Amino acid sequence: MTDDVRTQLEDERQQRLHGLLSGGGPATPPSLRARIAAPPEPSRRAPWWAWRLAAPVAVVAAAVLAVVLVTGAPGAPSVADAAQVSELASTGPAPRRDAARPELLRASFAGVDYPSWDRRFGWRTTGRRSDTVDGRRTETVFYEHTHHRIGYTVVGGRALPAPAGAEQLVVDGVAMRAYKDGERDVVVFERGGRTCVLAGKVHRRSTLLRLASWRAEGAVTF
Amino acid sequence: MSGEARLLQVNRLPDHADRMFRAAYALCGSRHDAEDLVQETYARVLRRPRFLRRDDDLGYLLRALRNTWIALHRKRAARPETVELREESDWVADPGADPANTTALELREAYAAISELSDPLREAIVAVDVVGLSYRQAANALRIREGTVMSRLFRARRRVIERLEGATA
Repeated sequence: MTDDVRTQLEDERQQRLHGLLSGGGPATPPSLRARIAAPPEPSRRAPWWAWRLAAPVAVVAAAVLAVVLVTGAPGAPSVADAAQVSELASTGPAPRRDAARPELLRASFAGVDYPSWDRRFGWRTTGRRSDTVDGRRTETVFYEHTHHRIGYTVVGGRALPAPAGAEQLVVDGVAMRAYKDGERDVVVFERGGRTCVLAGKVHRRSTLLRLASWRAEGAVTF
Repeated sequence: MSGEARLLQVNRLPDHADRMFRAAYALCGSRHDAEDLVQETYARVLRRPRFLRRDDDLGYLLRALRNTWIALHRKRAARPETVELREESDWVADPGADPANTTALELREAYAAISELSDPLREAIVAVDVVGLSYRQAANALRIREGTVMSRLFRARRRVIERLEGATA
């Protein structure tokens, strides 16, 4: 093969690649398109008196924080306590899919909407229960898929401290902690400032990670 | 070369969403990181009026995207590992694209190959082949000479082609 032919072939291959890359690509998610189309709110500068108040407020807040850190937040369960709830039986009926927002259930707690995984992943709701764990209210929705049962527990109040020794992960942009409790996998993450615990026996931990990080094109918020 | 400054056309920015998302995907190699990157870039650009002298809008956006990516990339270096679950993006051909030349599988492989390039090579191929800038526009956006764009682009394409041919061999 002559140099001219080789050069021509190389040029053709490069042009074909250019055609490929300029002719398509990953589809832009509709949720991103919507966020881009809506311009951000203009930022407003705080009034002068807010700046004068800021210093004393900061001092008081720091003092309160120090007391809480030293004494521990009263009535805060551990994540492991919250995860135990998912082993208990349902006490209420299974929430149904929200007809107006099919990616969500007609169930929410502390501002957190529960996702509907039936259509997308085949996990059907089987029941729910409400508990109080070490002074904190929790709400759990149970899902099943081919005889596997998992619980999605939302803990009321401020987010709980991360479980010690759990693996730290970011899955599709969602920060999580994951650990094993006997045969059960436990995945912990936050939505709207609340601690959410997804726990159960599954074949692969990635199942829980995938479910927990599902955004449903923005319908499930974090 | 300087020319008169003009305002970035803010109302036209959503029109560039597809190109910017593809560029971000090629830089990050992950759909969700790409979403974050594009959103953060747009938020930064919209913070104040932008006057363009040499760039066109798309070239300016690409430079903003690249700068934001570098800033986020540095921040993320200290963060936990990202696990990308491969349920992932749909791959689409543009209207008018040659269907024989644009298949989802090939596109996916090509983007995977781009993600393995070094930063300079990746930026060149993203600017010209993904975003669609001319050599001159790419040189402005990347702050390098046109000749450098061309040589980096040649090497980048060659490596991607080798990877694609290796995948089908």
